[in-house]
Amino acid sequence: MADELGSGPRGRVHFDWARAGHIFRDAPGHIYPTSSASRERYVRLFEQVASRPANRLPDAPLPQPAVAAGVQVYA
Amino acid sequence: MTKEEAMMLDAQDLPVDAAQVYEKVIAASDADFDTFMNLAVLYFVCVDGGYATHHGLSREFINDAWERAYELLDEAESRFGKQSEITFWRYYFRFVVLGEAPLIETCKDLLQSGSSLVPSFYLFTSPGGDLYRSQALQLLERVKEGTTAKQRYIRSILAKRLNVVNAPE
Repeated sequence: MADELGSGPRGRVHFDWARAGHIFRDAPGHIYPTSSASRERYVRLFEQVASRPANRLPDAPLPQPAVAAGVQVYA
Repeated sequence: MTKEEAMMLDAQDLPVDAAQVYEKVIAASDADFDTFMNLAVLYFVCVDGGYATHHGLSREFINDAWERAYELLDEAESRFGKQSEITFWRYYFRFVVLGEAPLIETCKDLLQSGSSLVPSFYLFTSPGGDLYRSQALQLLERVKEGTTAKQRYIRSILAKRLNVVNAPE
């Protein structure tokens, strides 16, 4: 995950709800929470993970234009 | 190699094999519009970090997939003319992969002026999306039995939206 959380200097990272439809769904490599409460818990977890620089994966497979656009991956 | 063989591999969720066969079908001059869209969206799905990791896709394949997705959209437009679905995917891929701005107003125009229902899946999952429930349900009806990456992608988003809305807290 990451591209959906915004980039820039790591402070408190906020989940981008505009991309929630792509993120939360029944597909390989994705999460499919069955209630809004569960989805909210995942959002908080994503924000915590992406707020820690140590969690960044600099070698994550991203297309070059995404890297150039500042997309980063955290896990 | 036929479109049916490509779709069979696509249905088995074998993205690299499916892409190879789709490419051969498209290299032939009689490939149809759906084949172009199936492959463009398959490549888009391959660029997704979660999907790429799940399938162990290489960085080289991911880079090629991203470039090729746009080449296919351009090629489809040159063969079949301007289509709202092509325009939609051009914006949507960049919205998801590059983090570009939401495309709600663009999609409203595409849905009104074009013949494709595809933009409705995005509008339905955006703020105020209930206005597009009818079109989204029509689209879901068309993809609900579908097995291609494109159909699975659209279905996964629509199904999630409908489930969460109806889920108990």
